[in-house]
Formats: sequence, C-alpha cells, structure tokens
Amino acid sequence: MSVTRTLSLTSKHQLWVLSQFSRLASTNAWWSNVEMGPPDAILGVTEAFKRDTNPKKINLGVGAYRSDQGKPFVLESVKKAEQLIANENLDKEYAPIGGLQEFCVASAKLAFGDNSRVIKDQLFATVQGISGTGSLRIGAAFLAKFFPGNKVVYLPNPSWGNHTPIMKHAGLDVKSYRYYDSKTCGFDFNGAKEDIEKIPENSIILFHACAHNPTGVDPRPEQWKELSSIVKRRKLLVFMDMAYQGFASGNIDDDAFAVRQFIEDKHNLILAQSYAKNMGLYGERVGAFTVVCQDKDEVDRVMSQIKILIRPMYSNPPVHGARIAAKILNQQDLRSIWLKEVKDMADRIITMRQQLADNLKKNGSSKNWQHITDQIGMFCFTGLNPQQSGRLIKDFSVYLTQDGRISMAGVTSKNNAYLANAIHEVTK
Amino acid sequence: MSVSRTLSLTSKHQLWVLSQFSRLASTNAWWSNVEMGPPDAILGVTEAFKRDTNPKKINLGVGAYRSDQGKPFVLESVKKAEQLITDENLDKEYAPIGGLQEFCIASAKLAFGDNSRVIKDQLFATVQGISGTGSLRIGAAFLAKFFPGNKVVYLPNPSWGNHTPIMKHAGLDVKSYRYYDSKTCGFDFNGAKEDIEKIPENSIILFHACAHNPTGVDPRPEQWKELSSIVKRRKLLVFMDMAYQGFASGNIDDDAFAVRQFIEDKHNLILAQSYAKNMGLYGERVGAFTVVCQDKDEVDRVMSQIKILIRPLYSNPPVHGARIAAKILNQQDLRSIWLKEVKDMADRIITMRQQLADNLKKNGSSKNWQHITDQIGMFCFTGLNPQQSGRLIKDFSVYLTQDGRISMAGVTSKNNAYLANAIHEMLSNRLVRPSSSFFLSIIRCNHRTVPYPDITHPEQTIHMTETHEEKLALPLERPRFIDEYSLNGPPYGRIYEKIPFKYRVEKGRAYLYCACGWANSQPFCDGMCKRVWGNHDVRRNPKFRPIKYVADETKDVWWCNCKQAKKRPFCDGTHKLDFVQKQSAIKN
Repeated sequence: MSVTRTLSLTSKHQLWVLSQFSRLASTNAWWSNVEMGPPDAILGVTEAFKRDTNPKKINLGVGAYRSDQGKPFVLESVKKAEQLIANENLDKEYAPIGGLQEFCVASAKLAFGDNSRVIKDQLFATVQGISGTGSLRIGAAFLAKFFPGNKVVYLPNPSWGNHTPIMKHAGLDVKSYRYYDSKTCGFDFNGAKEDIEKIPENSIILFHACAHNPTGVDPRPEQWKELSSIVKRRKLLVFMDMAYQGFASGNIDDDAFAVRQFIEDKHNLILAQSYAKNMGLYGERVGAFTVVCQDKDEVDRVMSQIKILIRPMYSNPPVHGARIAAKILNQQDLRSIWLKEVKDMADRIITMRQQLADNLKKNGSSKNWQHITDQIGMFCFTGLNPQQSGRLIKDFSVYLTQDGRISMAGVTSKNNAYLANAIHEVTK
Repeated sequence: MSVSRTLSLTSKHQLWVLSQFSRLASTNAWWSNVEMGPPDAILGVTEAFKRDTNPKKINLGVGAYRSDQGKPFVLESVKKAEQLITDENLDKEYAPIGGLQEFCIASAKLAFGDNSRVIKDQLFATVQGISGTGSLRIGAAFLAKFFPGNKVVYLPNPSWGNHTPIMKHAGLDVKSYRYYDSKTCGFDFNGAKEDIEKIPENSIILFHACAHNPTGVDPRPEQWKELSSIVKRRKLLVFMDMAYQGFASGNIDDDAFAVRQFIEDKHNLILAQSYAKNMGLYGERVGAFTVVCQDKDEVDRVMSQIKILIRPLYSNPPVHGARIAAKILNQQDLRSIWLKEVKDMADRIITMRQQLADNLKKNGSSKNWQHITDQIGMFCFTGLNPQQSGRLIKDFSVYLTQDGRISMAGVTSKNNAYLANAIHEMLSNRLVRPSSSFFLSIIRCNHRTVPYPDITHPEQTIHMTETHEEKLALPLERPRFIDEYSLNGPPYGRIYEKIPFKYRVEKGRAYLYCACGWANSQPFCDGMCKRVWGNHDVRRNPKFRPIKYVADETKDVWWCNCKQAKKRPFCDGTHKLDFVQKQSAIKN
C-alpha cells in the first residue's frame, strides 16, 4: 500500500492502463469493455407494438407512409419505372463518385425550379447521397473541413433526433434556436427571431424546408421571407433539409417555397434532399446534397472536394434507386403520374387530420385541437405530455413516442374514431 | 508599415483572420478558399482512354471485370435472382440499421464456412455495409471509438489506395509493413515477418485475404500459417479485407483459407467483405462488416454499438443489392449457378495471364515474366516503372496506372497479342528510353531546353490534354516548371499593374507573355524571369516561363497585367477582386 501511496495519480493511471493492456492481450478479448448501447427510441415503440395482442392496437411511431389499409405502399410510378429499367437490361457498373448525372441534375431542378437562376447559370454542385441521412452527412463533413466561419450548426428546437449525431460525428458543434411553442402548439416566431439575432455571424443555421419533423409546424410564407432577411443580415450560412417536398402540401412547388425564397434573396445555401417519403423509395436510399456556388469555377472546385470526402466513406452511391428517381423525374408521363400520387398521399394525411380533429370534437373534447389541422406533413405534435402518452400506450394500445408525436401515416379511416376516443379519454 | 512591425505575429494573424471573415461575410462567398482537389488518378487514365482515337486502344486501368468481348458483365444468377425478387412484389421499406438479416447470416457463413465454430456458436456480429469501402469504414469508425489498444492500422506496402483515406478519415493512424518485393515481383515474406515483429503489441494489422490489390501477390498457405502465429504472439488485432472471395482462384473455400486459418488459430478478427467483384454487384453496393466475438453477450453489445455508428452515417443500408445477394447465397440452385460463374470469371483471368506470358515469350522477350502467372486476382504488377508506363500509354494506347499495375480484366483473347507486343517493343526500344546521359546533357547545354507552353495554336502537333486529370495521368519525363504538377498550372507572378493592357495582335505572330511580372516590357517577356531567380541550375528550369500566344486573327486583346488571372495571358476580371486590389503593384 505504501508503494501506491507514494505513486502520483498519473503513474497509478498508467499502471492501470498497462494492466488493462496485458489483460486484454492475454485473453484476445478486445471488446470486453464495450457496453450495451442505448436502444433506439422509435424501434422500442415498434417492438412493443409487435408484442401487443390487442386487436385494436395502432402504431403511430412509424415514420413511413401507410395506405388507408395500413399497408406499406409502393408507388405506381415507381413500379413502372422499375419495369422500364429492367427492360433496358442495364449493367451494374459503378456509378460515378458523385452519383448518376441525370439524377443529380433532375434533383436540383426539382428543388430550385427549372427557371431558377441557380439552374440557368449552372451554379449548383449536386451529388447523389444515401437518402437524407447520407446527404446531411456529406454536408456536415464538407462544412467540418471547409467552412471558413464558426463550425457550429444551429438546429431548431426540437429537431429530428438524428441531426445532432450526424453533425457531431462529423466534427461540428451543435446549438439550437427556439422553434416550437408548446403553449400554442405552433411556430414560436418571435422566439426564433430573437434567438437568430443572437447567433454569432458566420455560423451555420439549419432549417427544415417543409413539414418540420417532429412538430409538423412550418413558418408561413411571409414569416419565411422575414427569416431570410434576418439570416442574411446576420451573415449565416443556410443549411436546408428538405425531406418532404411534395409530401407536405401535395404540391412540389409550394413545398419548395422556402428554398426558392432563400435563393431569390441571394443566399448561397446548401441543401439536403431525400426521396424516401415523396417517392416511397425508403430502403433504396435515394437523396442528394447540393452546394449553391458563386460561379462555375467554384462549382468545379467544390465538386472536386466533395468527391474526395465521399471516397473514404463509401466510394460511390447505390445505383438502383437513383435510376428509378431519375426516370420518374425526367420522363414526362411518369412524372405526371408521380405528381398525382404524391398529391394523393398528402391529401390522405390532410384528410386524416381533419377527421381526427372532427372526431375529437364529436367526442366532446373541450380542448383546442386546431393544431392538428394547422400542422403539416407526416408528424403531429399532439401536445400530450409523457404521462398521457404512457397512458395511451398502456390502456389503449396506441403506440407513439414519449414527446406526444404521432405519425399521421399510421392513422386510417378505420382507426380514426378509436384514436380520437383514446386521446379524449387521456386528456379530459 | 511601422504599425505592423510593432504588432506581434499572433496579432497580425488575428487581423488577417478577421479580414478574411469580413471579406467572406460581405460577399456571401463561403467557398472562395476551397481549392481544386487533386484529381483521381484512375479517373485520369479512363478519361485519356476515352479521348484516344486509336482503334487498338486497351483500358487496363479499369477495376471491374470485363467479358472476353471487353463488355461489362451481369451474372446470370444475378439476373435470375432479380427476376424472382421482382415477382415477389416486395415493398421498399427501410432495412434494419444492420441490414437484411438473411443477407448478414449468409455472408458470415460464406466467409467462415458453415462448419466453423464462429457460425455454430453464433459468435459473429455482422452488419450489411456499403460494399467493401463502406464495410471498411464502419470497421474503422468502430476501432476509432472502441479499440482498447494503439489506434494505429498497419497496412501492407503497397495497399489499395483508398485504405489510407478511409482509416485516417475515421481518426486512425496509418503505418505499413513490407509486403511486395519489387525485385522478385513476389511476396517479401522475410521483410513482412521482420516488420510485423516490430509492430507494438495491441495494434491493428490489416491483411488482404486473397488477391492482393494492387500487386496480385498472395502468401502461400504455409506462409499464412506462420503469419498467423507471429501475429498471435505479437498480440495484434487482425483486420481482414476480403473483396475477391471466389474471384481469385475460382473456389470460394480456397480463397477464404487465410480467414478460416486465423479463426482456427483463435484470432478474434474483424472482417470486411465485398460482393462487387465476385457477384458483379458493383453499383448496388453490397458488402458486410463482421466482428468475431468471445461470446453471445459480446455480440449483442458490439452490435448495439455498431448500429449507433451507422445511424449518423446513413441510417440504414440499400436493400436492392442485398436482396439479390441473399437470394443467391440462400437458394441452392442459384448458388450453384453463381459458383460456376465465379469459377468461369476466375478461369478467364488465369487464362489471360497464361496467354500474356506465352505471347511475351513468343515476342522474344528475355525478361522473366513468371510473376504474371504467379500473381492472382484481377490485378498484375508488371514491374514497369512510371516512365515505361507513360510510354505504353503515349506510344501504344495501352492505358494503365503509373505504378505499372494492369487490370487483367481488361485483357481479352483479341488484344492479348497486341498487349504483349506493345510491352516487348516498348522495353526494347533504346531510343526512347531515358537514361542518365540524357540528364547530363541538360546540365551541360547552354541554350534553353524547356519548351514554351503553347496554349492556343490550332495546328499544333503537341497533344494538349483537355482536363487536368488527363494531364496528370500522362507522366512526363521531366516537368516543364518546378510547379508543373501544381493544379493551377504555372505559378502566379507578382502584380505588375492592377488594370489590363490592351494591345492589338496580328494574325500568325507569336507573342511571349510575361508571367512573372518582373519584365520591363510589360505585358511581354524580356528575360527577367531567368535573371530574377538566381543560380545556374534554376535558370535551366526556372520557376516562371513566358506563355506563348500565337494569334489566330488580327484583333485587340486585353492582356492580364496583374498576373493573377486564371485565363492568363488574357484578362478575366481577376484584377477587380479584393485580394488583388488590396495588394500593392509595381506600377501604380
């Protein structure tokens, strides 16, 4: 004991480290110190749902569109496109590092609009990414390496749960600005404006372009315009995350309003797109990452550096989904079918919202449920607290996340009344 | 000036940083300081190949299998599997974070063998990865976060070019051990053993399980056994990269020998697999990453942590390719067809190797080409040096990489003889081969030996590369400028004047534009570029050269006087930018 007491703290630690080395070396047990990681929150909901035997159970945790029969849904335009691709007998060679060119160009046109100055002057550096997550990750890696300002991303509060790990994993710091007003279940415009004014210049600010996840609360067009001018004045780089274009309102141009407004106001923004929801290509992992540049020379330089970042991550992206998306976007008849299907999906969600609000009123609920129809997109922040959410799960077999978020995709015309009744029971 | 002298170095830097911030903030030009990245070496070879009009051209840079007709090849088993999948009318829902379960299990069984203790005791934590690169990257991220020893990966020398960026990007350090013996074009077994003995305990060592890329040189089975025991004694974590199982020898079990030997010797290794080559699923991105664990509990813990690493990378993997691979591996009839096709691909490569060696002998080559048939897999290290490779490209339209590596997949029964003939002729042609006397003649001669860089003459006979990638892919015997391989071309001179100079040029006349900014007869050269840089050997190969412009018509031309324009010698407005305006010019 006296020996260890005379040893300094560093030496004791060194001894411990050495003993660990010899221990692991002798046992070949490299991973004995790896602890069990925290389980995924959403996955836990789905697993509990699967175990439940109640015939009236509803799964409102799922972040994927379901038909009115509650089934996964492959779009007709996607099936047609896949058939055409199969008939072409294409090879399976590597895509370029930046992905299929026809897909990237079509994706940029979809976001900015065919008549945008960005498209006309070819000021976009677009690469294919592994759906939304992969595109955000490429963006984060690019910012971590090349952003000349403060390497801090300001996320709305709350935001998609995976935003923070993506940014941190790439080496960026994460802060937030006020976004959701829990009192009104709406957009905290004044809070957002105040917080954005305080963000140091030359930082990065992230917006959900439409159908905010998880709240479903979007700024109105005039609010977007004001945000754009504040952000311009504060000299912030805008990172747009657009995962629901077309899916929110049913119209792809309306949903891209924020992105196009910012472009009009001359922001050189960066954009992550996903085709998981609006084309139902979830597992095919189709997305795109874009940097809007000053001129063609900057596009070339930025593209070369993005490719250097992609190469050690996964070399080049998967071709199958991008071929489908490119065909749909570029072939007129398929595109028309797709636009109609997107509108149908969005309309079903909006109808479910309306029915839910009506059913809640029919149940005699005295609370204000206007936010259910005010919010937009797949998710809805009901305003329930964790206790109420817990009761919904335990007593009514309605599975949702603790923050009171429900996925409207899981609501059908059949279970709508039951759901309204259940919500009314826990909130009265 | 006196103010800046009293400021300390830190303050001056801070001032500069602040000035950069205000500059970028005012112009919304976030990416003005992003430089053009160095181009991909292989891409340059392919681009130059596409531009070549020689009908006999051969592309040996391609790392993808080609049929004997030189065409990309989709396997019959893959087509059948895809048809079955289409008929099943599956949905496109997200795969689990770790990928399709049936694919992961089948992949582990393929690697370790159905009867392995790893399979029987379920000691494998396998996730689907984005082909080989993605699987290596997951592994690197896992090591960077959880490896309890030295976070250094020892790669064989040489190794696949992307290994180093993958490891470094994830935060691991990279070192190497001897592997390739350039004298024998074979495996440097003694060198490898010596270097591995010196690796500190508890480090990470990476092996190519079969068909080493880029050399094609594999250890023999008894050598693998010895390596396994040395590595065990040195207490190193083994990272196996198996991208060619089945593709090397034609037999999936033989190719997995090294992996299975190490498992037998009780290494708890980690493994990255790729199905790009052996199933031809290149663009579908199908691969797997496995950690062999001590027990079931460790498997669960390790799996949970791997998933947490995958989520912020790409959430979950693409389904299409994995469905195809799972179907082929699990359905007996498809699996048999696949095994036969893999053997056919490997056999074609082996046949091409034999034919090439025979043809070289037929041509009368006296060199020892045994390594062509000794080496295995898609790639072959010919032993040619960069100059020889360059001449193969320029004189024979045979496109390969600078290190003398050829992809046997690009060799067919039709072009085999031409290739052998090209290699033999290039080697025996003394006139073109550079030697030491050539360099001696440079130092001795007094006149200018470096040609002016021509830029616009339409009838010029010098082949001008069109993209920068192309330019760097064609190796020159010596650089024209010290900064020849600089990506911006000739270096920028000093600013003479911040406005351009309008001068009328006559058709057909050559003008020498001063690129260094020191000439007295601006905008034209008067030899100051040679004088200004001092000693005699620099004058032979000075930093600046005038840029020659041959006018194609009589017209007024704005010549760049700031010397910073990208379109030198012509003005492109660069003098208006802040960074030029702020600097001082010679003439005001």
